[in-house]
Amino acid sequence: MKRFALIGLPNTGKSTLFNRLTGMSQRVGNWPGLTVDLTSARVLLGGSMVELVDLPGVNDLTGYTDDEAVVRDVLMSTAFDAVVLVLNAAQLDRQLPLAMQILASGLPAVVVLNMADEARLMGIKLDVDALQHKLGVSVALVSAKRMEGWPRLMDMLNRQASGTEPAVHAQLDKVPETQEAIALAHACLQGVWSLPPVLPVGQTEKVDAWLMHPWLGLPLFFGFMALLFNLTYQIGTPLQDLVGSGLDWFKEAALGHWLAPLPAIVQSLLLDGIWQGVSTVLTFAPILFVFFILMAMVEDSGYLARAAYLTDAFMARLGLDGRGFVMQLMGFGCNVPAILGTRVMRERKQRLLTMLIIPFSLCSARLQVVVFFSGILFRPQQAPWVLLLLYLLSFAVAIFTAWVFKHRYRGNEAFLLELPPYRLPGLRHMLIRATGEVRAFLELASSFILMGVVLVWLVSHIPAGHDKTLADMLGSVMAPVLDPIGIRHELAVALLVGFVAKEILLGGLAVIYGVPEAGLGAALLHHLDWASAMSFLIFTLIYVPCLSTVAAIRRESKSRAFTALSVVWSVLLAWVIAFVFYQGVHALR
Amino acid sequence: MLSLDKFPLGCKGVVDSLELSDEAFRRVAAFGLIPGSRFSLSRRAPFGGPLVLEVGCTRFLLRRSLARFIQVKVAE
Ligand SMILES: Nc1nc2c(ncn2[C@@H]2O[C@H](COP(=O)(O)OP(=O)(O)O)[C@@H](O)[C@H]2O)c(=O)[nH]1
Ligand SMILES: [Mg+2]
Repeated sequence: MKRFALIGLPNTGKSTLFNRLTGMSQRVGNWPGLTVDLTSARVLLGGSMVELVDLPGVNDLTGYTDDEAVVRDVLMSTAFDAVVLVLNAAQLDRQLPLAMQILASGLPAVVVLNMADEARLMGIKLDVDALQHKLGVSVALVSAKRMEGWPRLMDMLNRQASGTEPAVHAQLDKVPETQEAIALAHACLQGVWSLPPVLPVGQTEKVDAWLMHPWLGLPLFFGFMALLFNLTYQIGTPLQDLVGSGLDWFKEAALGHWLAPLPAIVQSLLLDGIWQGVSTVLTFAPILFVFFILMAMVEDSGYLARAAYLTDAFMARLGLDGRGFVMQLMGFGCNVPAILGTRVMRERKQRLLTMLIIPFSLCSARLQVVVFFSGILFRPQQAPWVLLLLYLLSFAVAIFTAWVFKHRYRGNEAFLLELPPYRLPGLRHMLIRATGEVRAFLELASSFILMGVVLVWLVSHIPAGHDKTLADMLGSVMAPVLDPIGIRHELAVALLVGFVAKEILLGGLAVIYGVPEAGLGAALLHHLDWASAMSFLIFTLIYVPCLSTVAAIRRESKSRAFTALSVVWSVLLAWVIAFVFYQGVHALR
Repeated sequence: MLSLDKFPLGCKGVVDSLELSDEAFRRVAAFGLIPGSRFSLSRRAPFGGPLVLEVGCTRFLLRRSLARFIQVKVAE
């Protein structure tokens, strides 16, 4: 099988072209030794099967950004039959140097000049045949979004794929340095490509006058975020409920009957353990899907870069970049998609720092717990203020975490970001992308979460003498850490359940006190004093949001050590804050 | 000659020199900002936020902390 790589600067339409060429057959997957996933797919070109790989965007083959290192690694370790260079036809002045470097590396290449539609609107003069002649490789001018220029493109790709030369590794030592590549590119563009003396003023500038307005910009940003957030849940939550009740129905109507002949303990393992895990994972799918569609809209339309512009002054002080803020906000709905969404940040350290703070965003599942507790612990007039305080606490904890770790995960100060013209996102592109993301997450998370759920099941079912289970023992063993924060021993299991998912925490509490969920409030008031209940609530808000978030962090960071750090840090912080609170209340009394 | 973070808003200029590390230079050059290139400064975010520059058809954000090290001239 042959192998082609798509290479180009960020935002040139590589993924759009990739989707056009491959459709739904693509796979997001691990490459050995890489810290990012690559998307690849098989297509039939020129009578042979070709594996097409969508590489991350790079500016310069000699650079040291994380993505540049990834692309160099891939080009050195893997032989390619061809490189498909994707360049923005309107920006050849800054994009052609990369082409010069690729050509010098000895890789067979074809050049796709994308965004023909935008170049035309800008009034750019371009002689494709003359450029092809000067570069010495085939060039096609296309618009991947509108599928313009397709016959010539397909002809070029088919011809390239029907060659009989063996695949080659890039000779990176032959690649010219930045300045030399720029000089070569400018010489090449002489008389072939030129900008008009005055660029036409487009719609983008008019829209930006509002969206990037010195003092209207931020309120509009928060308005959009609120809208985005609402849309995610207005559309996602009913879908989630639907999937949830579908799964419950299946459990009641079918699974229960099929498993009835089995011994009770096996039934319990299958239903309360494994099936519980499967449902937890599956109910995330609709929210993730909706989130990815909306995020793709925000990113592809070009608004994410404006959001970065508006929030960068604040975020830079925390050692983050402006796009992290958007993810942090989305985390208030659900941490899982927010973690997966950090992928727009291309610098690994920035991504890690953002992933470290997102779990402190008080997500909707934890909100349920908060609302329940504040309902029984406070008078109705006080409850909203308590809620507000807890939201502020979650922000404060996130900011504190960023402040503590910003030196360890220091991003590069040389942060530049293209501000693309506003573009209408392609529906097909968004659907393909969202489906791929959800599938990739489910694949990883299912095994991970299943393991966790089964583990919790074992702990709460394995007998440990005197009709007690391991879970009861856990409470006694954990006493030295639980007592100082006033959390009663029987609640150790509840914290374990909450570790799996906060959605099942209240149900878990009801089981512990042997009451139906409706009677839980009274039972809690009976068993817990006020300070101890608040301490439990604070701990619940700050420690690990859920196993799915841990799975998402594991998937995105590809590092066990980092995942462990994130879990340990949040538990530690939760303990310290609950300790300060509980002991503080006691000292005051 | 002045540094880019002091450049007047809405004006056009020419890059004179970049006092940057190799790595930072690569990143800046990838957006077309090299000695001799023409640019215009179209926006400046409040509270010390980033600048918006235009070089050719490319618009991009650049932090002021980096702009300090780029010497430019106002073009007539
Ligand atoms: N106007 C126009 N926009 C395009 C074209 N191709 C891609 N885009 C848009 O450019 C943006 C970046 O595309 P994407 O494929 O994500 O670029 P990548 O970063 O190189 O993978 C998206 O908003 C696309 O919808 C095109 O031919 N014309
Ligand atoms: Mg892409």
